[in-house]
Amino acid sequence: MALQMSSNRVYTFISSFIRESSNAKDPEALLLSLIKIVQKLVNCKWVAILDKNLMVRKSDTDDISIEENLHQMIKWSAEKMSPTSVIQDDLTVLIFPLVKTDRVLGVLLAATDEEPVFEIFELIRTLAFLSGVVLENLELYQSLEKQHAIVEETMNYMQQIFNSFPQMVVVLNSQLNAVFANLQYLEHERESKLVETIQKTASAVLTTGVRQVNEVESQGIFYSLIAERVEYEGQSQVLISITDVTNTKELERLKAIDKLKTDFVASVSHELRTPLAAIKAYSETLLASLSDLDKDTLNDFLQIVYKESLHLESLLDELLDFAKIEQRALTLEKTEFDLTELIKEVTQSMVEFARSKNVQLECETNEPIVIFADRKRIRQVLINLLSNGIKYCREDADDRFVKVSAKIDNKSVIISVSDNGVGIPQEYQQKVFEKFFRVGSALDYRVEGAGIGLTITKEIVELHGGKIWLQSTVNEGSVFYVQLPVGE
Amino acid sequence: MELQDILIRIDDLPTPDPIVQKIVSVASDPDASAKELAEAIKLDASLTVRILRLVNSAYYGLPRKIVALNEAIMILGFKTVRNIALSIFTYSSVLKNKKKSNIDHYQLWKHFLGTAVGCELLAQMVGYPNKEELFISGLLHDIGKVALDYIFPEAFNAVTKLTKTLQISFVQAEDRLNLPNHSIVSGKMIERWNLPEIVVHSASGHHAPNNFSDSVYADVVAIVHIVDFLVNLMRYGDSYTYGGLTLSSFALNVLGIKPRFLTNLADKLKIRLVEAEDFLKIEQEVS
Repeated sequence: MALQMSSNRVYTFISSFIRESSNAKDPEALLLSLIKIVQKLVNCKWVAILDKNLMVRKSDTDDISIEENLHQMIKWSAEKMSPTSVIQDDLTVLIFPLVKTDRVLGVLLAATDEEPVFEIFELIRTLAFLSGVVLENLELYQSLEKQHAIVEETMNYMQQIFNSFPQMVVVLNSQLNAVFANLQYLEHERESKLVETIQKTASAVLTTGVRQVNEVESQGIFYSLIAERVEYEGQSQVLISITDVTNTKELERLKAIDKLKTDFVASVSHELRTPLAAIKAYSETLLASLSDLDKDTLNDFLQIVYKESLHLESLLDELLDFAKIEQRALTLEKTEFDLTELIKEVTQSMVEFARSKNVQLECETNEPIVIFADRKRIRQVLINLLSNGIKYCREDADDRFVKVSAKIDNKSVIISVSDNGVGIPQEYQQKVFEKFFRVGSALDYRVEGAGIGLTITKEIVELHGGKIWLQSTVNEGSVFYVQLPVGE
Repeated sequence: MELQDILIRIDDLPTPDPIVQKIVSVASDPDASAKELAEAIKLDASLTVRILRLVNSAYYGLPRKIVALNEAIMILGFKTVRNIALSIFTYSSVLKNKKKSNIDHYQLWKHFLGTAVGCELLAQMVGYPNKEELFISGLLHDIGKVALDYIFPEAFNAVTKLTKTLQISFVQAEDRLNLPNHSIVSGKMIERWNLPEIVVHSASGHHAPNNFSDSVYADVVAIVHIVDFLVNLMRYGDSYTYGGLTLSSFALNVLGIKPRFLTNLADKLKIRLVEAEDFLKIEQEVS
């Protein structure tokens, strides 16, 4: 007998189907609720949904047989987009294509042994139509999600590529917030100095629109920044790549040292040659005309030879010390001694040299200062500082002087050596302690010396646990300070 | 001439015989079953034969031959079978007018059928589920012209003369001759035949879709309007309109389609019309 239903029930069915279909998160859930509602509407032996290729996609019974005859009708129904019903094995199979405008998304099959009335047929048809619309939306949503996943994967892929770069890469938006960064950047994003420079460079790019290059040192590493403008969704952004150039810097430094060494060899050869030439010339004269020379002349000549050989010795001593420093083999032999006495002794020994340069040498210390240090090395320090003071005297100055003093300050003693010589320009004040450095060119022969005196001095002071620094004004003079711990 | 003058004589018009009326009423009954409809049709043997002929025509393109009415109803559905029965009735109404008339009834029928096929096709293309009703809407939209031909063949002749010489539309000619609008008459007739409201309104409104902007029938009126325009444009059959027809942009907007869509519709319609050729020679098939 024919099924009948009140319009009230029809609305109930439609309402519950709409509720279920709007809750469906994916096509499968929707199809399931469609199957359920059809079962409620008609007493079905089985309900199935075919995909657009007319293969069973979902059903409430496992083995559904679709005979050739039925299959032909399903195909016809899908092609014509017209619902139909066919009799197969005593069952009426209702066929409803799931259609969205001009496309078939699937087919709903419901097999029943009752004869459904016209209204039920129309109702299922409406539900099938609604399902078609919802199904398409869900499928669109799914393909959207799939595309989203592809975009995400592409993003990850790009991120991996960027992460494999040794450089830091970061993209800042117009508010200077990072919108993209690789791993290398994230590892450094807390270095405020680096980030500040990045932001400064980025805003320069945003205002000028031109590629910017910058350099920064952060935590002992030198970075080179290249910032370029990029467009994203109509907005200006800045792409910055940051490269660690420390090694390049180091290489540059080594190259500079190499050049200094070459210069050093040239200058040392010259330094050694000067006394040697004198010794050689006077010895030759002596040998050639020994019988002709009177005693005074002979004495003068031998004095010169002796003096030059001393000079040669001191140069070689310096070189030896320097070599020791280079090999880190310089050791101290500490004893207790009176520093004031040492200063007086050194001043005394250099009076002759000072007089030859017309320089007044003054010792301003009288109180004995007992320290525990390497006397020989401290003597070397004093000689070096005093001789520098004398050597770099200003030729146009009227009363040239070099003053040395020492005083106790807490547990250390501060020695100061001041002069009114040429002075050292500001930019060289740190460099004078560097190896092979001489203000001006290393090949300036007017002043003798290998350019390693202050390096050795600094090394000795630091070996004692002390410090050396200087104050200087060009054409007014310099003061070198040495601070030494008093010791045990 | 007033609308009343036609309506008074509406009884002179061919009305569906009791069997077709029964078919129409069973097809509209929500509680009806295939068996009931089959029982109703079987009372008229020649109708049964004609229906089965059309069921197996290229228009429906069924994969196998249907020999039982019951099965035809199950497969094609109540409404489609009703449509076939009504087509057969309309065909005879149009072509069996033995009164003195100068018009080519076959060409008029061709216009009816073209519009019916086009309406069902457009309904499907825009995703309107109830496409079978649109077939009837298209089939009967100009049935008012048949009424005029029956009751006042001279007036019909005057209209055709006017449309031909002045290259104007049927409605414009009706206006000039103070004749009632044929689409209104169509609506009245369909109402009398107890067909669903959707058919009544889509037929009576097919020349004025803009009047239906607030109606639930806005979309079906738009479908009939567009297809009527297109079938006239394609010169499939003859509706005795020779110009002056305009396509309402409102109708296109209601369906959310662009004029470009009409080219696509026309291409598909040409194919469907070839498949529907059996409907053009319903009589010959039987005799």
